Parts: sequence; structure tokens; C-alpha cells
Amino acid sequence: MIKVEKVSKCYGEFYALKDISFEIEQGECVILSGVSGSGKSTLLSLIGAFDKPTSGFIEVDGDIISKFPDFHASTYRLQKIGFVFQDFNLISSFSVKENILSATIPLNQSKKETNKRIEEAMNLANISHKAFQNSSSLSGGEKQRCAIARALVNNPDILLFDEPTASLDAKSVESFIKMLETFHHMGKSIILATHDVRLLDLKIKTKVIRLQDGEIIA
Amino acid sequence: MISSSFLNFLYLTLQTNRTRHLSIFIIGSLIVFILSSSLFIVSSLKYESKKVVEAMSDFTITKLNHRGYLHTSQIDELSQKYGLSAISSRVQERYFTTPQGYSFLIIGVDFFEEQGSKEFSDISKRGDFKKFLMGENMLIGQGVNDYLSKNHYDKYFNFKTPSGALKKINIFDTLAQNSSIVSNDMVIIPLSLAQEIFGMQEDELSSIGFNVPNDAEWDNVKLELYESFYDIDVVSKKEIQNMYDEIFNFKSGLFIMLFMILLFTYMVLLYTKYSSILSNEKREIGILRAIGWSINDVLKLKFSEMSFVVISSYLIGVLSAYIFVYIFNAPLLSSLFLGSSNLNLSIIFTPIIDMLSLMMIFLLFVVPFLVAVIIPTWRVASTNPKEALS
Ligand SMILES: Nc1ncnc2c1ncn2[C@@H]1O[C@H](COP(=O)(O)OP(=O)(O)OP(=O)(O)O)[C@@H](O)[C@H]1O
Ligand SMILES: [Mg+2]
Repeated sequence: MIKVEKVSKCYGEFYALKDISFEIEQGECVILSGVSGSGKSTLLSLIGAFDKPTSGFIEVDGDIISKFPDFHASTYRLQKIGFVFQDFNLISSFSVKENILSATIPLNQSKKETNKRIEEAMNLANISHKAFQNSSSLSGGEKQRCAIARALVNNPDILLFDEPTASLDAKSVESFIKMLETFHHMGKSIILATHDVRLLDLKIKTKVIRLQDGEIIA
Repeated sequence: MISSSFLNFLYLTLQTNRTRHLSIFIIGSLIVFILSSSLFIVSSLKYESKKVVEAMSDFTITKLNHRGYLHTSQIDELSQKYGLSAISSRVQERYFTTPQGYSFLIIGVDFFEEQGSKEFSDISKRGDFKKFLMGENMLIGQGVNDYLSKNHYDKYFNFKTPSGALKKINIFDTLAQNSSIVSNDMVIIPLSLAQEIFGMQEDELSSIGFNVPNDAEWDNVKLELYESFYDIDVVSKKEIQNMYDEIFNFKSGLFIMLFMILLFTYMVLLYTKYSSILSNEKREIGILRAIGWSINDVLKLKFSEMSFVVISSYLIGVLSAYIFVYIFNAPLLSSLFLGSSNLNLSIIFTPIIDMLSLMMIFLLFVVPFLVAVIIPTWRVASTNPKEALS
């Protein structure tokens, strides 16, 4: 369970998030919507323990992750979180498989286990056929699927997506939505930050949190 | 523990970053190469000179300031007085070739007197000892051999005696090349021949060597000798050894200084180079941090990467120095250590591996390396994962 409690985030005088509180049950799918600059990405980065709130706290499965020291925050990102970034953040000199491999290294698993997990993740994200292609030469949709495979490889409970459909055409959006449904059925908690209306009527049950100027309006 | 996936990933990053590491690797190997080459040369020379000096008499007497000759009667006088052993009478004089002005060190030896001595055990071992003494033969050092054959004396050489007559002496064999440092310009012949070449009387000698069986007496012997004979000079084996050591230490000292300067430059280079390499990698490292790498994980990767570069450049440097010195006999570099105006010295270096010095080079090389890269590495490893988000 994710519990966001009275969270504010200031940049100097400016409040990017103001007194935000909500809860997300394990397996729920949540859409953070709002116009540009409303604070969606900021909220995701707090839940992903990339950054700390100015006040308030975030609790995940009983741990106050917003107070974690760096080492624990890293472990939390590694094991609990799968983050799909808006511009994917792939390492451009690596192939698809190597990008996914890079997320497994801190776990110190055997080569066999590692390879098994990478295969599974690539199958789920439907990118196996490009395993050895250099990530810089992938299409936008393929890059996203590579990033999704990397986010899935350590089998995290929580998947965070930042503007996942921003660079996708209609067909890719469709297959992305199918993928989301699969992840939902696997029992993952999903949080999507988006202002894409196409994502507002998913077949699965979703909770929508609307943000405006750093505050929840609905 | 290091898993095979980690090694796999390490290999991957080394592969992708190989051009970035290349200059560091090349300069590193070069520094280690220069240092280990001079180290190998010095250890080998020290070893050879030690072996040669060990075979010498404990003490050698010459006429004070080399004016005139000693007399065979002095031998009896010495042995009666001090109970000395293994006495050897020598003619040991420089013979100058004209017009080039090179010189040979002619050593006239009384081989019957010295049959048991270590110094010439080589010839007697070969069993040719009798044959050698039967004719008018000489053993020559490598440098002498090179000089003579260049002047078309392949079988013999005509020495000019003070009376103007020529004395023809056959070349019997060449002295072992690995002792060239000492034997390069030597010509070893029977005592009587040497006396003939220099126009000496039969009872005249240029030096007398002897052993003092009781080590405790070593210091006394010298003093007593100076007191009993007013016109002699006494040199002990230890003094000769010290002289050699001093020469080599001085030369290797110069190299160590050179090395220190190189090392300092290397550290500055490393620091700036890795600062820039790592700042180029800031984005990649930010991504790794974002997907769950801790600061320690990043440090471990970057240190392994750099250790691989530094250790491989150490190994390549040492290995190529070994090949350069012991297989190719250190062209160019050896003349820095052996340079002399007389007869070109070519030497075959006996492989001597001085583990202590190799360890020292390793430490001198690796420690500054780690010191130079630790700050930039730490700085970039603690990159905030948020870097990757922007
Ligand atoms: N590091 C920062 N320093 C100062 N202001 C920041 C920083 N990061 C974000 N902001 C500000 O916080 C506000 C919220 O930003 P955020 O990126 O969360 O918006 P968003 O809802 O994700 O917008 P978009 O849809 O364009 O991605 C913006 O006004 C932004 O300018
Ligand atoms: Mg955003």
C-alpha cells in the first residue's frame, strides 16, 4: 500500500506540490492527470524516492520511504519500483538486452537467473525480437518497450509511468494499453502521469487524481 | 561477492569505454615499462658484478700510484708474515691500440698457481686447460672480440712490445657475455706472455691477490700491510663491490627521480582525464542510480573498471620490459647504464626478477592511481538519481 500524507514540495518559494494526501491499494491503477506544470512528475519522483518532500511523508508497505537514507532509497528503487521515464533514459551505447541487464546488476544474481528474468521481461514488453539491437537505433515505441522491460525485470510491485503516450501513435497507444491491462492482472500497482485523454477510459478500473497547481482538485 | 553478471557488465562497460581508457593505458604501460626495464638492467648488472667480485681474491695489492712493479719476493714476505692463503701473482696492465686509442685490460695469470680459483674455473671446466696453456693463447672479452674482428683479426692478434717487436697471440675463446660488465675489455693470458708484452722482468708483477681466511682479521690486515710496506696500495673485495654498487645505485637513483616526475605528471593527467571521462558519464550514472544502483554499486563498477586498466597496464609494462631487457638485451637503454668511451659494451643480461622491486613499482604505480581517481569517482557516483529525470 502507498500512503501519501500531507506532502508538499517547494522549490525555493514556489510550491510544486501543496499538502497532497491520498492512498493507493496494492494492485490499483491510478492516473495522475493535470495540465503541464501541475506537479505530476514531481509527485512521481517523490513516490519513486528520487527526491524528498519538503514536508509530509510517503509510506510504502509500512516503510516511510521519504525518510530513507540514500542506500535504502536505492534498494527501494531497485526492488519495489519500476519507473518508465518520459524520455525513457536508456543508455544509448548499450543494446536492448544490455540496458535491461544493467537493472539487475546490484542484485548479484547468478547469470542463469539473470538471463531468465531478462527473457521474461522482454517477452512481457514485447521487445524480444530486438534484444541485440542498439538502443539508440530503436523507434520511439520500441524504446518505450525496452524501458518497460527494464522496469519489469526485477519484478517490482509498483510501476510508475511518466507521460507514457506522449510520443506514441494511435496503434502503439493501443498496444500500450493492452500491456497495462496485463500488468494490472499481474497485481501490480500502477501510477500513470498523463494528460492524454486516450488513457482516461481504460477497460480496467482506474482511480483518477487530478492535479492543478500542485493541489488535488478531484 | 562478485557475480558473473557483474563481470559481464564490467566487460561491457570496458568495451564501450575502451577509447576513453586507451591513453591512460598506454601512458601507464610506458611508465611501468621504463621503470621495470631499468630495474631489470640494474638487478642483472648487480648480480653479475657480485658474482665476478665474489670470485676475486679477498685483497689485491698494487704498487702505490701504479708506479713501477711489485716483486715476486714480496709474495714470500707476505705469506711468511701473515699466513695468507690462495696467493695469486698477476700482471694487470692496460694495452693501448693505435691509432684508435682503445685499450684492453691485459691480465696475466699464473694458471698453475690458480688452478683451484673460482675466477677461471670456466676454462678448466671445459677441460681445454692443457690445450690453452700449450700454445700462446688468450681468452678475450666480448668487446675485445668485436674490436678485433672488425679489424680482421679473427684468429690472432699482434701485440707490440716496448722493444718494437710484434708478439702474436692466438684467440682461444671468448669470455662469457653475461659477465661483460667486467670482462668486456679483458684479455686473459698466461703470466709470462703478459710480462713479455709489457717488457717486464720475470720477477716483476703488477698485482698480488690473496685471501685472508679469518674474516675477523680483514680490517687489521689492511692496516698492518700499510705499516710494513711503504709503497703499496691495498684494495679489498668489499671495496670493489661497494664501488660497483655505488655506480649502479647512482644510475638507478636518477631513474627513480625521473620516475617520480613521470608519476606526478601521470597523476595530474589521470585526475583531469578521469574527471572529464566521468563527467561525460554523468548521465549514464544518473540512469543507473535511478534504476536502483546504490553509490557503492557505482563505486564498485568504476573502481573495477579503472583497476582493470591500471593492473593490465602494469602487467603489460612489466612483461614488455622483461622481453626488452632479457630477450632483446635492452637496445638504447643499456647504453645509458653501461655507456663508456672505451670499446663498445654489449652485454647479455641474466634474467633476475627482483620481486621486492616489482612489488614496489606496483605500489608506487597503483596507489597514486587510486588516489588520483578516487575523488572524481566518488563525486560522480554520488550523483543524485534526479539527474536522470531532467
Ligand atoms: N528542480 C526544480 N526547480 C524549480 N522548479 C521546479 C523543479 N522541478 C519542477 N519544478 C517546477 O514544479 C512545477 C511542477 O513540475 P512538474 O515537472 O512536476 O510538472 P508536470 O505536471 O510533470 O508537467 P508536464 O506535464 O509538463 O510534465 C513546474 O512549475 C516546474 O517548473
Ligand atoms: Mg512531467
